[in-house]
Amino acid sequence: MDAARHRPVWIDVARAVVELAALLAVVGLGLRVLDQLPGMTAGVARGVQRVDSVAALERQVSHKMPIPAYFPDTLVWPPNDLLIFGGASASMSFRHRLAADTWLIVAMAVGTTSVAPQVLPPATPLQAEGTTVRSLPATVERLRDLDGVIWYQLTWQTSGATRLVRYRGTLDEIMLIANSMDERGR
Amino acid sequence: MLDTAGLVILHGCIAALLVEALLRVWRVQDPSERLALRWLALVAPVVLPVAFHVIAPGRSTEWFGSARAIFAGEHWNQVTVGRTGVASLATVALLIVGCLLYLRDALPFLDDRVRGLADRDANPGHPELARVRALLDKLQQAVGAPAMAVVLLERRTPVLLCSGVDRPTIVISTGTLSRLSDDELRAALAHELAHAARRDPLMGWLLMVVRTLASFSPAAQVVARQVVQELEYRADVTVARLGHSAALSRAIAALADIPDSETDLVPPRSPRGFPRGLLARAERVAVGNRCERVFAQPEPTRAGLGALRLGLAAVGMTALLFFVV
Repeated sequence: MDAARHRPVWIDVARAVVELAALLAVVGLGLRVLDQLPGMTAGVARGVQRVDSVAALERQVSHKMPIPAYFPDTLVWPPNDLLIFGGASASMSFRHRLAADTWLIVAMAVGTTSVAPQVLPPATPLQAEGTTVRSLPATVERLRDLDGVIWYQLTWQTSGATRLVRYRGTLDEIMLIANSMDERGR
Repeated sequence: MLDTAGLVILHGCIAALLVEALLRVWRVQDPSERLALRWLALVAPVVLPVAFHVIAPGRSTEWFGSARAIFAGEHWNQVTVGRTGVASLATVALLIVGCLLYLRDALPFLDDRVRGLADRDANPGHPELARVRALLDKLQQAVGAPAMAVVLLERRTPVLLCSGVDRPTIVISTGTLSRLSDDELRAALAHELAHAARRDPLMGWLLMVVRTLASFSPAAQVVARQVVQELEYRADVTVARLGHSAALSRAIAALADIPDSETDLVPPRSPRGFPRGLLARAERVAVGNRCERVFAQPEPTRAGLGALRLGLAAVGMTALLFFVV
């Protein structure tokens, strides 16, 4: 007791700071783990929300989702997965009729920001080139996903949104799909 | 509206747990420092959401919740029961619990204060009044309390309270006088004088204002009860420093056995209509702990360290809660 009273004050101060920092770190870590649980349960990345209809998705992002007028008949409508991140990025995934794997992803980010990676499956870019979509400057990329499958991806900017189409088929088909999306998104 | 209520509840829980942990980690014994930290846990969750909304409106966006927040309650709505998100369900459930806890304590408090406890059964000419006055006069200077009015109630149930914000008054009943020896009465009166010296009746009203603002938050209601306990502890410590610990402990035990006691020396009873079983047991445990605690000799915090730790806790809590949406 006496020893505690006679030690320099700065030791008590330093101890209080360190103990508070440690406590905040523990609480923060605990909260972070708690925050991960719903995403793990739903099978999506942290902060990603899964919705069950295009209408619900459009309501959440307050923006029309671009839907291609050209839609290969090898793909299944409606989308099998609809994801939203941060209220601004959204994606729709479409399955192949025979393979049952995701074959087409149409995504959008409201504003000029790029589409959040959380709503897209991870992939490694292999090559990128400039092109045009409906006379607008665009980027076409070749990507390889975690299973080693090659995808094409087109990204371009329209008024008020960034658009992205990722397709597992040919380059000609992805260009047709992207060019069939009008300015209003429908 | 539900989102804001949910945020206040969430912040309240985190703040309460953080302060509870800090009291243990820092081994805070000083009653005033304990009280200040409890007040922080009570007020911060009510004030901070409003302050954050004004200072950083971007914090309310979904983007912040997804990309920057440590924890976003909204994420728990991804898990649904029926068609309703778990976060929304939990908010509604906790809101109901919070309101019940608030009513449980607020109704008796307002009943006592608003209807005027002192005006009922007062007997200004009672012969015992002189005995109480004499004891108070001896204790007043030792405790550092202002001049006190005394109201003696002609009532068999024990009443012993310090009330009055402008004009501190000790309200005592004949039931209390008949049950306490001189030593016990001296200790009990010293306890009430300690409340008056620290202006605790005003604190009681401020506490009720904050409780009303956060009446839907169960964490706020629990922390408010802890604030009351700290106020009682501070008054008990004053009595202990005067050397009346044993007498105070006996007085608490004597008054706790009587149903319908109206005194801050024993924990508040549930109003009629609330379930009693478990609560009665908890009340008995609380009385036992209080009787033991009056013998504690808390080590005062070193000069300046208490204020510094309070500041650190406030900054740390603000930083943490900023990233909880």
